[in-house]
Amino acid sequence: MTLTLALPSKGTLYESTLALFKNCGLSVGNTSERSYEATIPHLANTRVLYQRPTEIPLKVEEATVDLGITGLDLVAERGHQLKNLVVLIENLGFGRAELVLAVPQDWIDVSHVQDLVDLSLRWRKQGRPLRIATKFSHLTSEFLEQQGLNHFLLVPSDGATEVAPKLGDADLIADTVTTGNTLRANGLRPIHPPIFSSQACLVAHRDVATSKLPQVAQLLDRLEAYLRAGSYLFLTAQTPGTVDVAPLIPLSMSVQHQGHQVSLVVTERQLYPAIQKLRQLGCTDTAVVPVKYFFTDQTPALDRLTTARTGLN
Amino acid sequence: MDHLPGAYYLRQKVSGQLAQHFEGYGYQGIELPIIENVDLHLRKTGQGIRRWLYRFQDQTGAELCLRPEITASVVRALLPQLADTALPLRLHYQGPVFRQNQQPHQTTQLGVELIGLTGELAEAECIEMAFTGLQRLGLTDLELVLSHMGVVIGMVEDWIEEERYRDFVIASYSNLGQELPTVGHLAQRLDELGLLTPTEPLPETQQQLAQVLAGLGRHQSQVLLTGLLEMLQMTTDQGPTRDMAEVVERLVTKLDRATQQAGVRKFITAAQELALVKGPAQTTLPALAQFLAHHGLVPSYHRSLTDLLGYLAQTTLPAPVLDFSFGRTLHYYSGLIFEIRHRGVTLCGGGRYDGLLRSLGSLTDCPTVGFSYHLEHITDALALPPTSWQLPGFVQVVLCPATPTDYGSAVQIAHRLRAQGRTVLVQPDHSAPDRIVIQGNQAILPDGQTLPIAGLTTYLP
Repeated sequence: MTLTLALPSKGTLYESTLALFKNCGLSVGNTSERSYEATIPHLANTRVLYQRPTEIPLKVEEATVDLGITGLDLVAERGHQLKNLVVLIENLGFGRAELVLAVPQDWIDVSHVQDLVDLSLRWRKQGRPLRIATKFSHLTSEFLEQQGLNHFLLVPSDGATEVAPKLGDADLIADTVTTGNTLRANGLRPIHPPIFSSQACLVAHRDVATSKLPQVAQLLDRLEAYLRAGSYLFLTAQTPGTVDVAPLIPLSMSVQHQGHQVSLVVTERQLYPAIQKLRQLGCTDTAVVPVKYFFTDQTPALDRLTTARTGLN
Repeated sequence: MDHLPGAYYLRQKVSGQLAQHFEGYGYQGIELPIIENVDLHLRKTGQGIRRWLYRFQDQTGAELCLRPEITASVVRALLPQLADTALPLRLHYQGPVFRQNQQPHQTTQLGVELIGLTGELAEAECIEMAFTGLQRLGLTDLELVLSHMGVVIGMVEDWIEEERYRDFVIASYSNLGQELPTVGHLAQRLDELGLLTPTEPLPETQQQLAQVLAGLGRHQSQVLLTGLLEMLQMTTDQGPTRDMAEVVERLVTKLDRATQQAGVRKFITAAQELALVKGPAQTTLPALAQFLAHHGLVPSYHRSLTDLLGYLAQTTLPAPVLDFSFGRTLHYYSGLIFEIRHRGVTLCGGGRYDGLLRSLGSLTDCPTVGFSYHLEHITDALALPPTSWQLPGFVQVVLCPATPTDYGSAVQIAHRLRAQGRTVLVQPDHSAPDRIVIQGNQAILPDGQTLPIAGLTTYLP
């Protein structure tokens, strides 16, 4: 059966998603003139649908699509409505953003959410609520209540949230930021702590048909191998003969020793300690290349899906 | 909790008698919805309530909850018409309330609100009515316990400036004797909230600024900061979004953490002494006076309690107990608080909450006293109701038509007997003991005696 995968239709999430799939050897090719549909030639029986990231969590929940890529903040915001959605990979490594509270620059007495607790209690005595414009009502109200802030009014916002204080529609905002430039341009400043840290994530309907599982398993395996490889480096060095590789094991993901050659995989951080150890062992001529994929017998994303599917029965 | 017939009739009787009792004092009945906007209860009670409120969203996305108590609904209903309503207003209510932190989650409150009357006489009216209401039900062994939240609020307002600190301290004190059994637990809770020692230190630059400002004192700090801000023109192009004096005043208060924490520590030390003010009211009052004088607090709370005790002494109520080691949750009490206990179980609680109407949107302050009974605690104190589904003797007369054509006669005489206040079953069950068989115009009694059916209305006891 055909697996349906919803990908973001526009913006940076669109570009970064296509780049990720290309890097995983799963380039998305347009097969239809209707540009919202595509296929992945190297992944048989798979159909790609381009959707708005905000809509993808619900499409997955309703099982209109099997899998989707969207922002983790968008999933968390709808969390209470998503009974059938499972997050398989929550950090795809792009689309990073923070949901923050931001106050007007001239509120110099406010730098932490506890300041807002104090302010809201003062205003409450004057019968004045703290008005917060946001697209993320659920995450924002949950966060504020956890912080002990209950006297506020959420102003739902669809368009440009950051202009709400200027227009007098709200006193402050809760919105996602990547660089903070838009906030600054609108005379706003983020306060601590952030409400939610987000990046792009891969989600699935937990009842994906068994007949689609081979495609799902291949897709997850390739994505995870690519993401796992991340900053890994592959080292090969010439050894004087047989050496004891035991000192290398704690530094490395994998060590192999054959004949006059030892090869290992390390993180960027462990590179130089590994080089030093190799030298101590008398190794010479160490070549270092970046790792593109790192396949292991671990499949945490597929395990998550399997657990969710078991929960159904 | 299921209330089977035995409990049902006991509950009906108790709530009927109490409603009648309230009405005898001039309190009118009112009925309000169980589902309320969640904002009403968050605004009224503030932080803490969120954890145990039953809340949900309706189809339009409105945030709703099952009411955790009824006073907020009374105020919500009254506020739009407050200006046009002659005060004082005396109201009584009853109905279910819901809290996730209680077993059972659903309980029944019966209570009153006396809105628009200040003074100890209003408080005496409520206490006397609450106490005699329980006595009328036949309860004895009742204890009246009084305290005064005004003392605690006075301490907080005198010693602590930041609103957040004040709110947390009062909220925590309101749980004293309940979630926080002793002042030691209270201190621990305030420390966990970071009110005794800082959990998140100020950034270094702000620490230095705070030190400089501490040397200058409040007034000069505000002059300095206001001047600087004006020179820097720290306002948006739309003009300031808040009053700059408020911003500066808050900043100075906030930076002065040492004073805030010293205030909370002073409060805890004094609260330990205050919790010892406990005992028969007349002999304990001097200890309260001494406490207030020792801490430089206004003596008005002592005077108020003295006046109240003077009124209560002229009633038939037994001598009350003063006890400053308990609070009432849902911390909106501003003055007197009281509880009536029966062998350690609180059957009734209430007090004065003068600021409540304003915090729910009234433009003026409006004094309010009220209390509520806990119906389940009262019925438990009265008796253990039978738990069977059939109450013995509930059905007084069983009429049994001899043949299908006798059904009409049986129904007609049943109507006449019910009009006399009897409970009557009509059923063709010849095995029922004490059945009266209806045959034509004749009624055959259990002992075999025969009567014309019209004679049943006078024959039956």
